Amino acid sequence: MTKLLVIPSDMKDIKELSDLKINGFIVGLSQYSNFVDLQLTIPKLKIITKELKQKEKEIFVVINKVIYNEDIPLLREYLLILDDLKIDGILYEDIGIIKICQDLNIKTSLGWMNSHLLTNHQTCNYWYNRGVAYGFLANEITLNEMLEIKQNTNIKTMVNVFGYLPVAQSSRHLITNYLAFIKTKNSKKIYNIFEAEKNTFFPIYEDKKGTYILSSHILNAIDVMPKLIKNKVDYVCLNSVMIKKDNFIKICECFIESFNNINKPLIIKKLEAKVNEWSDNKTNKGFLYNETIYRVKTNE
Amino acid sequence: MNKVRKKPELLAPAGNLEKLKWAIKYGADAVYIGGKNYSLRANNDNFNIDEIREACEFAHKNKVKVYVTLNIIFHNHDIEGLEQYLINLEKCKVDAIIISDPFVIDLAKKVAPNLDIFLSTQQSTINYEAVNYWKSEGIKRIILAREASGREIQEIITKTGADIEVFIHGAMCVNYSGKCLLSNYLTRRDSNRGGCSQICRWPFVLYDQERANLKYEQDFAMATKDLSLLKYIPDLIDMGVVSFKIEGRMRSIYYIATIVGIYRKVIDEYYNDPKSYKYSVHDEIELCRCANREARPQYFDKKPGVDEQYFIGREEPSNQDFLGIVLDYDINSKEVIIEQRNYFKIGDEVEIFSPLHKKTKFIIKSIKDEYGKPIEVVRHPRQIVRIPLMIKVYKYDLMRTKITFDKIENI
Repeated sequence: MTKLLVIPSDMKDIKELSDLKINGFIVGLSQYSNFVDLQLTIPKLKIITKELKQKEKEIFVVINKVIYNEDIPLLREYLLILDDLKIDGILYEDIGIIKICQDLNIKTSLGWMNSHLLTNHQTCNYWYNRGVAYGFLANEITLNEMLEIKQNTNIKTMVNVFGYLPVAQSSRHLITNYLAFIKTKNSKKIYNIFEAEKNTFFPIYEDKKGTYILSSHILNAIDVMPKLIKNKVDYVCLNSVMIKKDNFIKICECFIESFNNINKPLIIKKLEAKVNEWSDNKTNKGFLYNETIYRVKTNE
Repeated sequence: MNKVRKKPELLAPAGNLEKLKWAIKYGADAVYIGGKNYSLRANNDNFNIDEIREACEFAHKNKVKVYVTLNIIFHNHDIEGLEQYLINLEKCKVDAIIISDPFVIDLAKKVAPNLDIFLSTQQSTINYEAVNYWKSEGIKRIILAREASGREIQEIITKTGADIEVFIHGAMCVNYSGKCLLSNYLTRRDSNRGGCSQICRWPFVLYDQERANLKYEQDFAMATKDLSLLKYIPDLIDMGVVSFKIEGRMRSIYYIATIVGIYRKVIDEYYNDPKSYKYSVHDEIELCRCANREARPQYFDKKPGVDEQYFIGREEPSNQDFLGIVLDYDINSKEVIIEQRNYFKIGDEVEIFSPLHKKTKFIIKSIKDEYGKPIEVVRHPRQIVRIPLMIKVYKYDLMRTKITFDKIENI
């Protein structure tokens, strides 16, 4: 059975969204997560985990910042606390986390949530054979590749179906550096960089850890929900980053409705139009039908 | 920190067989090359399996190791053929493969157990726990993220005892390796499979969140200057870094020869006699001259800021210093035989430099074409000419514009 996960933007969202038929939530850990609006401290995580468990909702904590040596002592403490909380999974990006979990004998299920690197079934199997339960597939592969992965692995597959997608991450402060160069103060939280040739905007922002660039379009993959559900993809995920709260709740409702209409293409089409309408920016299908290329000259 | 440990390996890029030979002649201890498939420089010449075999034979005869990059992030359909390729690489006696995608570890151990496995910088490994994980998986060497500082490199080596490779020279990615998909989203070219279209060097315009143009006169840019750790070679040797990597499989033979030659000299000088070693600004100037971008230590000594980036649109002209390759020296006529690479003429002040750091400076007084006819200028690519020279020079020496050190600039 395919489950629906949501990446919420604040604590209040969780309370409202958990009244819907959403199976669970992915939240960030304060100072240890990227591309996630809601990054909770340990005390808040304890509260929200208790509340969600009472409502029989799953909760995953994503730790996807690049881990440096100096991050490790505190991270070890946090992982022990998370293990005690009995959350449903720790979604890690940095490979150091799996080593720490092995050393500390962490029992909580692990999932590899690297935005870009889980692109084939053999890599899923590699992690599965090392005890990793979940694999969050890269956003840059096609729908067919996702389904092929699902057919050839026992890892529980997770895929993004809605939201802005992570595009790039730098440890440099690219906005601050640029504004310093032109002697201007950095006064805004989020900017856009515009590329003229492709006529495209990419949201860009900074935090203490560096700079993040998001996709120019919002992914709206509601049209592939029937295929994902029929092929038993384990989790689909909606990310609320930079989406207005009211709109996001309506979009979640559309995706929930799609579960009941997997054999009704006309209804799916209408739901797709609604999601497009409530998205705050242009939507597209990401790479679901659009395979990337990498060789532009003959190399044989 | 002051105890000199093991002599590190100088690891050079080789985009094709010709470049491989130049890298070895100029002092590389090891070279890394890409095959026709599975390599992150998909649009480079790259090596077919026969060329890989030839590369290994040539390198091993010169006591140099060969590493083959298999560092793409595989999609399902890329996997077909990989098993046989690994077997073929082992048969060619390749010393190690450089991988990014972890499933290749299991496959390589199964079908080509004699290949050492190195982990590519594409995994952005930058902490000791991650290094410990890869080490426990049988990875022989970890190539750290280019974002690692000197202090972090030291701590990783101290806490893991792992064989660590670091980049010491070449182009930088502005984003973490493996975590930049700008190329995919703007051009559909997959950066994690060797198709990077270098979007980070494109100009952008900065808008606010509501997409109002902020109308700054200057384009938004994120292009970085290159990396050079020339100043920190003694520190890296003392830390126990096992391999010093030079970036640039797509660079020219002149670039390879110059960069490899200078780092060879500096490593040898410091390793052989650390007390007498002195940093040479002349070496730094030579490094700067052969590149088309400025270089900085980047993350080694501090977090990079404004000075480590370019913000003004700039041309990257090809280097004109490189004048020609020495094909031979005619001992009877006392003439050097040169194959042209850039325009030169009678009256030019030039120098010929060798893999042994010997420099022969002179003014060109006359030139003959390959048929013995006197000429004034050499303007045709690969034109073969003879120039009188009393000092003997050798095949694999290179001729360039004479570098003067009276003006120390762009450092």
